[in-house]
Formats: sequence, C-alpha cells, structure tokens
Amino acid sequence: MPTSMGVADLAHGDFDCTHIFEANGSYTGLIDFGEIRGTEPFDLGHFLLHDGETARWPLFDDLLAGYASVDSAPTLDVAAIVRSALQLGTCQLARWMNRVDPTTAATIPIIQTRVEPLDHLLHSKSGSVALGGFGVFLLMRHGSVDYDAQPGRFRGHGIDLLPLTPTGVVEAEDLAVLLAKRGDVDAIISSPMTRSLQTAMILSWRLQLRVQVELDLHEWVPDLSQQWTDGEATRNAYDELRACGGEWPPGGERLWEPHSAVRRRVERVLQRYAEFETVAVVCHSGVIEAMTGIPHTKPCGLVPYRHG
Amino acid sequence: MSRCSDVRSEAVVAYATGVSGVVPEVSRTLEGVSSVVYRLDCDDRVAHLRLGETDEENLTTDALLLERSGQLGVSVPEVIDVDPFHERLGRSVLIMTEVAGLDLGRCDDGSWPVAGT
Repeated sequence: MPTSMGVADLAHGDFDCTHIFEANGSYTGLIDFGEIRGTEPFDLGHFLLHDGETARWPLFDDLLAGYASVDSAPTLDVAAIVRSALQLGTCQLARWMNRVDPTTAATIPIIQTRVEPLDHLLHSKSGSVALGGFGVFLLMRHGSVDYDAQPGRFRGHGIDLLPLTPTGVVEAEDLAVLLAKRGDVDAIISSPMTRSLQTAMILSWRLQLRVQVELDLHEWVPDLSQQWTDGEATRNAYDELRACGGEWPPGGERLWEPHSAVRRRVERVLQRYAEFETVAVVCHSGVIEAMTGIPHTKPCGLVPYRHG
Repeated sequence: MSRCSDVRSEAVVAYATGVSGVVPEVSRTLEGVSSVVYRLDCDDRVAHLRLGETDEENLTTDALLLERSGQLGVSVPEVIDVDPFHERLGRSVLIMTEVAGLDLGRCDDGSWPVAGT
C-alpha cells in the first residue's frame, strides 16, 4: 500500500502487552488480529501509547532493546513510532469526544484516560524528538505575583521588582519537579524581572543548572514611556493590544509594544541557545502570547516552542 | 452497519457443541474493548470463540491471516473452526486454540528477564 511516507506494511494494528503471551519467561504467542491494517513499517505506536497501563512497569524500552538484539531487524525510527502513537491517541480521543458533552469532557474518566497518555507523550523527551528533533524551547511563565500589592509605590519597570507570592513559590517548586521528571532540560534562561528570576532560581536549585539572565526576555511593555503605575494601566493597554490584533494599526503609533517587536528581541535571544537540546525559558505571559499566539498562560504554565 | 450486542450463551454452547461434539463450559471473557470472546472449557482443553463485531464482519479473513501467520512462523492461535455467518448467532464465528501462558499485562510471576542483563 503506497503512502506519502513510502510503502505501508500489513501489521497487527492493536499490538500491546495484553496481546503478547508468555510462560516461564518465554514468549508463547500473539493474539487478537481484529485490528489488522496497513501501517507504517513499525506497528509500535499503539504499544507506546498504552505502555505502562496494564503491565507492572513500562515495556517499550525493553521492546526496543529486543529489536536491537536481532541482527536482521532493521533500525527502528523511534520518532516515527512516537508520531504514530500521538496520531493514534488523538484519533481515539476525538472518537470519544464525539460521544460526550464537550463542556464536561475534562471530568469524564474515559476522556481522562485518553488524555493522560497523550499528555505524557507530548511532554516527554521522545515527544519533543518526534515533533521535530532537538532544539525545543519550553516557554514558561513565572509563578504568581500580586501586581496590586504596592499601589502607587512604583512606576514603569519598578513594578517588576515585585516578588512571587507564597502561592507563586509553590507553583515554581511544582514546575521544577515536573521538569526534573522530564530529565531533558539542559539550560535555563530567564527574564531579568524579579518574578522570573525567583522562579528560575527555584528551577536552578532542583535541576542543578545555572541560570543565564537575558535582558530581552522581559515582559511585553504596556507603556514604552515607562510611566505606568499599577496593574490597571497594564490591563487597559493589554485590552487595546488584543483589540488591535497585537500590532499598531496602520499609521497609528501606540505606547504599548507590538507583538512583532517582542518576537524580534526574543528570537535574537533564542538564537544564542540553538545548540541546546531543551531550554527552559522563564519569561512572561505577554512574551509567550507574542511568540506562540497562546494568551493567558497560567502561572508556571509551559508552552513548547521551536525556534525558526 | 451497526455494532451487535452479546448473544445468548445457550446459542454459543450449542454452536461449540456442534463443532467439538462435546458440551463445553462457556464463559464470557472480560478482556478487550471491542471483540466479543467466549472461553470454552472442554475436558482438559481450552479454546476461544470470537464473534464478529457487526453482522457484516466476516471472520474468515482473520482465520486466513492466522493461518498465514502460523505458516510464516509466528506463534498464533490455531483455527479450529470458522463460519462466515451463522444464522442463529446472527454473526460470523471463529474458534481458536488457546495460547499458553498469560499476557504481559497480567503476568506477575517474577520470571521476566530484566532489561539490560
């Protein structure tokens, strides 16, 4: 069966550990060919997607080791297997989503069981590789801050001296645990603003990586004259930015920084870290929105971004 | 084409008895999401009877695939009987031998070799 990726092979189609039998440590057989179909050369996406769900521990690495131990076996394309797993998982999730009320879907157990393996894969090192190789920037927002805690005391970037709230510290500690589990972060860079630096310090301690401070990772500027005095002024500027689609209207300069200017300064920073595998970029929701189009990233929320 | 519900176990017993000549003990297996499978205990032998998921599914294809896989050296269940469409059950039927042991999701006997050793 020719496909855009080459020639498909006829494969089991539902290959996971519940269909592989063993007795006394030796393979005895394979069952359930009901989903047999043409697929990519290696029919292992389903196995990876559901790895660890039923067996006592994940078996995918053992499976790869088994293939590698057979001289005649071709080399496995792990990235293709991960892509296949993501595709299968997305299809399964879409089928179930069609059967439930989308407004309550996130609370339905069958939906959760479909989302969890996908989420795990997307946030794993394998997922990063499958989505285009190394060079992933994990754009992450700092922890929570109370921007209205000191009304009128500071002006402009003086407000950026505000530290994390106690909740913000906990959020940063949770993020550090998540990144440690991923195990693939090999550099941390941070905006120079206190809330980002404090978040980056917490990550640094847990990941045992130095923090590089990059001036141009600072938050989107709501007033280029540096005269804003509180959160309200920032929110008003942001509302206008959103209404204008992120850019100044033709012929109409504004005080706020357009998204294109944010992207230019941040891209210059990221270029300097292109040789790293996965970079934790501690920055701001305004920066993340300008770079990815995703608004309102929650405190310590994480958005993968690929430079270029 | 619509997905069928389970059939009456008496009908399954009658079908299996007709194939083997012995009345088996029949139990519905709980594993799997889509396939309807019954375990057939007959004296000291165990077999599995699978029904088509819809009234249009013909398990002859699966039987041919199992036989071909077996010829190629893959350890798979042996086909005992296949019926493209059985009137009383209202579906295609496939009876296979049991594969020895447990599936990897259930085995817990500590016999697995440890990866990397």
